Amino acid sequence: MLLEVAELSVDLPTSGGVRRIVRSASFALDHGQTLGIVGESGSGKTMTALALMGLLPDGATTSGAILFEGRDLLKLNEAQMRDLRGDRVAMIFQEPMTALNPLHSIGRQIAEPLILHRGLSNAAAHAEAVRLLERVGLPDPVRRARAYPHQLSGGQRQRAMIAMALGCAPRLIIADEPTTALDVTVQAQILDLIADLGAQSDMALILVSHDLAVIAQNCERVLVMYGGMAMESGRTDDVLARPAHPYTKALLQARPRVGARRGERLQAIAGAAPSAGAMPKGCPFAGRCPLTIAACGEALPAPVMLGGDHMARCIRIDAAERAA
Amino acid sequence: MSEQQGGAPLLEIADLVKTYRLPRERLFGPRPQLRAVDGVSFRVTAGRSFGIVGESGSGKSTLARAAIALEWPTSGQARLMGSAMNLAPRAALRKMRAHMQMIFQDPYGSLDPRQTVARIVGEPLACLDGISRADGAARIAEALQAVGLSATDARKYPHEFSGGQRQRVAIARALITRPRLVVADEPVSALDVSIQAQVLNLMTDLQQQFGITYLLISHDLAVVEHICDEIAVMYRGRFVETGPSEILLASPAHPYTRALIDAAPKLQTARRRAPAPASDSPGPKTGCAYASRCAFAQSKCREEAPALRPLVDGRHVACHFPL
Amino acid sequence: MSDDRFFARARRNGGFVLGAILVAALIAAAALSLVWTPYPPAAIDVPHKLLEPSFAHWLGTDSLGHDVVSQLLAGARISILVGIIAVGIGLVFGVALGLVAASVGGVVEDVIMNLCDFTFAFPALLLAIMLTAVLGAGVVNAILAIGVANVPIFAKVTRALGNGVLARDYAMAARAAGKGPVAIALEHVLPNVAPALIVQATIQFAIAILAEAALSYLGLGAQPPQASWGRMLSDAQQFMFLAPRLAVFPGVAIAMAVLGLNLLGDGLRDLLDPRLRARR
Repeated sequence: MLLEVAELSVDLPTSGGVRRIVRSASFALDHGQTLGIVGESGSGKTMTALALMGLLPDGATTSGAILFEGRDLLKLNEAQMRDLRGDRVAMIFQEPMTALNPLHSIGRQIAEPLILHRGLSNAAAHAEAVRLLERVGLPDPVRRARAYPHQLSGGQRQRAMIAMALGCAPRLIIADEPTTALDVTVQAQILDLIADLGAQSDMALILVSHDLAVIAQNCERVLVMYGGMAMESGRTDDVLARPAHPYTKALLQARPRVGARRGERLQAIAGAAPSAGAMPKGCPFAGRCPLTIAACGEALPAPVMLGGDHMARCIRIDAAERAA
Repeated sequence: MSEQQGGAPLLEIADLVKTYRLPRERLFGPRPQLRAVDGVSFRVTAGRSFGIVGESGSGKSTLARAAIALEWPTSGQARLMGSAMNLAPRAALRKMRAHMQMIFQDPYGSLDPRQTVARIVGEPLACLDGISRADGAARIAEALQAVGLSATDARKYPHEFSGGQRQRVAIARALITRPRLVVADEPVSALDVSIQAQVLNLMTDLQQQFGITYLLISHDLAVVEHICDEIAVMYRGRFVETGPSEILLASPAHPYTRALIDAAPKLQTARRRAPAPASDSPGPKTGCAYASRCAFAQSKCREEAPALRPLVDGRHVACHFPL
Repeated sequence: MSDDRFFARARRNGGFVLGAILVAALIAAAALSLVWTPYPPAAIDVPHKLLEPSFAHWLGTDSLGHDVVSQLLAGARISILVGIIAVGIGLVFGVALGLVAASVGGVVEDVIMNLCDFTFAFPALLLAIMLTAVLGAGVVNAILAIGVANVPIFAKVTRALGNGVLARDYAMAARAAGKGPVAIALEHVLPNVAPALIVQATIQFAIAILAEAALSYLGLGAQPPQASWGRMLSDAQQFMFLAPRLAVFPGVAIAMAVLGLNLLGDGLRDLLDPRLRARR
């Protein structure tokens, strides 16, 4: 296994006291595999991704283990983590405009990690940067390498970000909402690019998104998060075809679909997600869930295995099956 | 688009152009112009909600704001129930505003953080004459209840609400003058999926309950189809295809409409590959604006700009070689 | 937000608490001087000049036998007066100009902002010297000069933040509701820029106190027999080596008042920041 996350919990200090943002999440990923983490705002998906990068906000505390290439990332110090970041693990952010330094040329920013981690000379690193820009499909890479971020379009900037992430041939790329800021037609191209590059070099990919459809089309396996908890996970085909958790089911039905009858009532999920300040001690979906019973609110539901690595954390799975 | 019985359509946009002057590129050079909306005409008849789909920079938001006189068109007209808004005197325009309201994308930016919900929701009423304080309070309570909030929420401030609830407050504000036309600019795209469905259901309920007609702006085809009877697809300031929603989405005639439909992520694991990367060049000065991205472009497309022309099934398409 | 939460967070902000205490002491000193000072602050008592601090004169007397404590207390009054009026002038005219510039835009905005830049080019001190040359020296003219220098500062802050507010959707929503530009400026822009203006005002208050002290030190502000910290400093100059304490006491008073106001301003900035206040 390339990556094994076991019982990861993240606590974050807020003005109202320490809050548990991620609650014992477990998942694993092997070389060349793709995993999608889907969730709404406040689900803990971004904090999970940042924990993998060792980029949690100041004051955050963690428990559990993140085994990457056999080493527990949670036990590494900042210097060891820095060696890893950009080299073995790389990240692609949502808004490339803010993730890129506006004062440095694109080429220089792509060359930087190469100089840092690979010990390349300036000239060699710059030549490599041009080659990377070509690989991510930017036309006229020599000229683009000299350009500054504001001179590129949103899609081009995201391609440049990807080139930067690819630089040191990382084993794992974490992409946090990489296409949310982009137009639909550009989004599809960027997702294709990420998928192709992953397949070419046997990189593992974690795609974090609020959009289940984006995950469905790009990831072999999916992890559905809600209220800091991994509600359901498994092969994307299985989860989409036979969603076991009431939350996953609701999420699948809530979207309007092209071709559906106009004005048809959508299966809305009543209420709102619990805020991190008011996280219940039991299942975070209890209360919004039509199948809630008293026991749901009392303890964190244990994972239930449903064949293969299809897992759901729900004590009402039987009832959910009957309701379907 | 059918003619409304007995009179003018609810909203009529006639050859509307909106240009912006950009900063000079050189000290004494001319100021370049951006044609955000480049000659758009359409009608919205009462009871048939109209959707405008397009990507960022297509000019759809500018068009929406011009449609309810929040922007002044460079040329062309926007007529509400037969009267041209850009020619109306200020007082008359203020009266007309009661018939048209707006819902914004970002429920965090669209509510003044320092005002109570009562003041926010009551703001359009405060601009109307002859509404007593008691009447106003009653209508605020009524509007809040119509969107699923309680009358006691009127005393709260926006930060006490979640994103979905804030959007309900914004919708209550748009409802309070009992408008006939509501312009909604990406009303659900800032919301979580589980909340989107609530707000979309609310919007369709209100459509039936209060006889509202929406002018909906969105990048999301599914959302537009859910609410709207007519759809227009906008690209670089122009409509490339308009028509009844079912027909347009089921068998798009314009290659750009086709590309938008194909690119939208769907809940299935297999996926059609996206077409080759589009060039980001601003496009040629002559010919079809989409020609540089179009897989079916021929030499005629680069020479002559296609006009919007009718097809037999009630659609209009601006393409020399419709699919 | 409820007031008790504001105070609960205020208590945890050490700088804010210290600033509030220092400013409260300044106001208390000024208020006290209205009803009681150990000696009349303007009373000349040459036989008892340059006394060391003692039980009769807690901080001693100056070269004309003025009681230093009495003068410091009365001086606080001038400092507050200068601060309030000079900041008041700046706020009233500056905010009005800033709101007009932001709301109207175009040529009007350019003209107002260019005028502000023009005024900026003259430091308050230079402005005061010019005003004094025309109108004669005195506290009132000093206050006027400091006030005029404050106008462009408030105008710029108001305009910049006001443009930010006008770009928000709620300002657009107000226009869609039929609100005119004046109503939008007063109902939406002003309340939303007010916190930043309050912070700016405390800082300008401190600068006004410094400026008055400087003007009085130069003989362009308070005239004898009026007590002022700046004038006390100026008088103490001749006796620097004989009685350095005469310079130290008003100096410490000025420093404490300015420090207090700056801490208060910084504290308010944190406390009024909506990002810290309303958790999303």
